[in-house]
Amino acid sequence: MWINGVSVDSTSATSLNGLANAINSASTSNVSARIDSQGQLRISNTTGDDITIAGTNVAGSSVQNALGLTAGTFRGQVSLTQALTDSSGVAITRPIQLGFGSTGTPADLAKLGFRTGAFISGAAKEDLLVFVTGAGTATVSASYAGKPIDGKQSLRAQPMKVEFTSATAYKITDTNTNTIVAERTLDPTQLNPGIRYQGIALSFTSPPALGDVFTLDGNKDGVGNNDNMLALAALEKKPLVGIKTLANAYIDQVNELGNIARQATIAKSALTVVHDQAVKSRDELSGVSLDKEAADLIRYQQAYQAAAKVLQVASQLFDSVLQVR
Amino acid sequence: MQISTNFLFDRASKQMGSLQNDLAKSQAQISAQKQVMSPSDAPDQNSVITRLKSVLSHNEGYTKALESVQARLESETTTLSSSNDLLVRLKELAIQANNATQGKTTRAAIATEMKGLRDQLLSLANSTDTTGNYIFSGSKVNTPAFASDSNGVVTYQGDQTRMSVAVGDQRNIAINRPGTNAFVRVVRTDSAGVTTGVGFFQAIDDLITGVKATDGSGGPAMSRGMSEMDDLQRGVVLAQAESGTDMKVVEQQNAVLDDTQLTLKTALASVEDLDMAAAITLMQKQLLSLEAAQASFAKVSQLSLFKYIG
Repeated sequence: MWINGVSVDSTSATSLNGLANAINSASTSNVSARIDSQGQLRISNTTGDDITIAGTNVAGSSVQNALGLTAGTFRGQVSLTQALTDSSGVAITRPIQLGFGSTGTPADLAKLGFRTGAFISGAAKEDLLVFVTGAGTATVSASYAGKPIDGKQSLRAQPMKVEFTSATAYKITDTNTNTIVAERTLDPTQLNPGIRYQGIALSFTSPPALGDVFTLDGNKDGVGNNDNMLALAALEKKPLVGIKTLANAYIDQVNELGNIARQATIAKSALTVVHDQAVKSRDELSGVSLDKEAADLIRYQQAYQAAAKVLQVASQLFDSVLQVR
Repeated sequence: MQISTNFLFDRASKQMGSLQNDLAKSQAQISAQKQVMSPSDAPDQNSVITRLKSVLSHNEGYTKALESVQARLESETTTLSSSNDLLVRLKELAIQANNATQGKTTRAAIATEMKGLRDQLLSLANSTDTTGNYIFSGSKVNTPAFASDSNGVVTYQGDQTRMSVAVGDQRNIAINRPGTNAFVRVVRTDSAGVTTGVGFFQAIDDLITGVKATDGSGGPAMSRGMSEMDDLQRGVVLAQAESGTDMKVVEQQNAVLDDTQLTLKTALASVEDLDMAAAITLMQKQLLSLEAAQASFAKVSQLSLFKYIG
């Protein structure tokens, strides 16, 4: 067979050891072979990173070779090991580091079998910024699920604790589960030092100091809290009826009624005049004036008396006529 | 033109009725001393009057609120100044105990008095206002501000809420101070350089323990305690100053409200109040015309032809 284009005489080898020796003897291939503790043959590069293995016949053919491998180019694998202690028994704390080098790309890490995504495992500090720079393409995906929360209600269900670990740094702890949900820094020199977290604002009148602990809960037993009363009182100044406040709307209603009543009064007095005129005109025609009736009465009485007088005179005349003998 | 007798009587009674009406209205105005008796009398003036009255009643409410704020602030200031006196005495005792001439026995006696003062301070921090609410508990007015747990460590139990009361259309005044703002914590750095926050009462307790434990010349616990006492006193004095400032604000706001009230009342009087002289003159005139109407009617109604024929 052929390794890196160098012929290896595998036909004469009768054992794994023999095969290893045969590979090692072809030193120009830059490939060495050994038998590991599990009795398996391991071949590794001395320089370069690929190992090209071909069959006995023609380079590049797919005929199986002495190693039982399909002809082709095989990538090397990197294994880094480090002892836990040095020779004098002192623990080594130096980390194992892999670098891209000056021209490396994340794709090189993928070649080595590493995941090249950015993953966060376990609790992260909640302010996470991802910068993507450089040429080429990159995919960034983030998922977020949630809805606006009512601060007071959520605090009732999940009280929080703000603990100052120094005058400028604090951590926010969810007291139900005792998990740290955020670790941040605070600049106490700014005008109104404050903390904002999930729609909740915490402001300080004096700079906090180390050891200060603030518990944020839903103010369940704050019976002296008059926020609601103040909100109720503030209703008075709110434009609740159209653009008017309640009091103004009431005043306007009363005024409108007053106006209408006023108009009605004026209309009434105007119409009274008309009514009086009409009554007067009617009474002139159909009404009874006692004086006039009295005058008529006297006139008719006198006429009657006159007529009676006529009758009396006639009667006397008649009597006189009868007495003539 | 014929005047019917019926019409004569009708008209006389109607006219006298309307005169009576006017007279009654004048009389009502005079007895109430008000220009506008009902909205329909003068709709424009009535709206001004109602608005002025509403603002006036607001101001009265604000004045009442100020009274209660003042009572509350007074009890706070009193408590704080008593606390300050106690802290001064505590410091005196600490200085006395720090003297090298003191021995274990005398220090124990001093520590006893200090313990008494500390308990007195605790009861002051847990004092209540006139309505029985704890002053320094924030909005948890039913919870004592400071309480010791099973280990004797005193912790703050109130919250940081500052309740405010409207004392003007645009002015709110905070009526309380969280206990931690008056009975402050101190930041202590121990010999190893580790800093921790230590509560007000814990600091005093540590000082007392130091006084008790020290023999011979003054120890580090005592000198630390004394510098901490300065910090504690500074916190109380600062709170006292703030409280005093609040009282000043209350006074000023009171003066502002009084001025506003006067202006509003003057404005209201000019619109609402009756010009008595004019009103009485008018009423006299109405009275006169009513009397004239009645007298003339009596005469006219007597006129009848029937009287002469009988």
